[in-house]
Amino acid sequence: MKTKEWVIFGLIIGIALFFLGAMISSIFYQPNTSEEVKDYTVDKVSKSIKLIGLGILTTTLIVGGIVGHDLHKHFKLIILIIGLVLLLVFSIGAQFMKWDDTPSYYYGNSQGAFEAPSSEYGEEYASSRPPSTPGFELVVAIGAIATVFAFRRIKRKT
Amino acid sequence: MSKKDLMILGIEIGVMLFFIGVAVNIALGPTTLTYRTPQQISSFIKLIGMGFATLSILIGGIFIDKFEIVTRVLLVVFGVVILCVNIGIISLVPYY
Repeated sequence: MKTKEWVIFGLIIGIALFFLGAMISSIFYQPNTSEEVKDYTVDKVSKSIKLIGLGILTTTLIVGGIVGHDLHKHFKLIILIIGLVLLLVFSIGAQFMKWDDTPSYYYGNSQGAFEAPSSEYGEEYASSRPPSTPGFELVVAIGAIATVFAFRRIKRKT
Repeated sequence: MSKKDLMILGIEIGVMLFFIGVAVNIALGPTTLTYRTPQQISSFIKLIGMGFATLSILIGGIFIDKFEIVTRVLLVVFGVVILCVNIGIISLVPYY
């Protein structure tokens, strides 16, 4: 298999896994009911699949941008930049993807932890459901695929 | 295995470990005041992954001559930016 085919394969698997994860959460969606505690298994599975898909996508873009010898020069550069920018975005974005129900005042500030208030005020901080996984980065991936076709058309014309 | 292959492997393993770490946090359930396991495991995996990725990008960009000059410059620039951003994040948030 050539490098180009590996890159295409990685993009396909990454984007497919992302949409598969989204599909699972959409098909098996259960609304919150006040009577019983919600089962979060579906959310956990779908979000894990989505994140693995995005991981494969980012890895493919970076590695393809470095070792893709049989790719067009400009395309190689573009997928490397997109991959590195995605990694940068995710390293910041991952901080907002934590599922933490600890009330925020327990983490305190640089001077030390605050004391927990005696009232039940702190309960409002509990997120009680998994954080949403991002999807806007997929626009960039689709842009990358569109760039391939654009370059191929330019190459044919010249 | 050449240095180049080692670098590529480092980036692949690093980025995948980072994303697996984020997924582990969600998969193991919410971190609460008494149940800290998701936070501990996910932070450990994420930090190892990001460390591997940053190291491979930066070292690969500086020391491996087989790549084109544009690729090397990009790797070094982004390696430094990612390193700085991660130093900032680690200093600002209670845990990674």
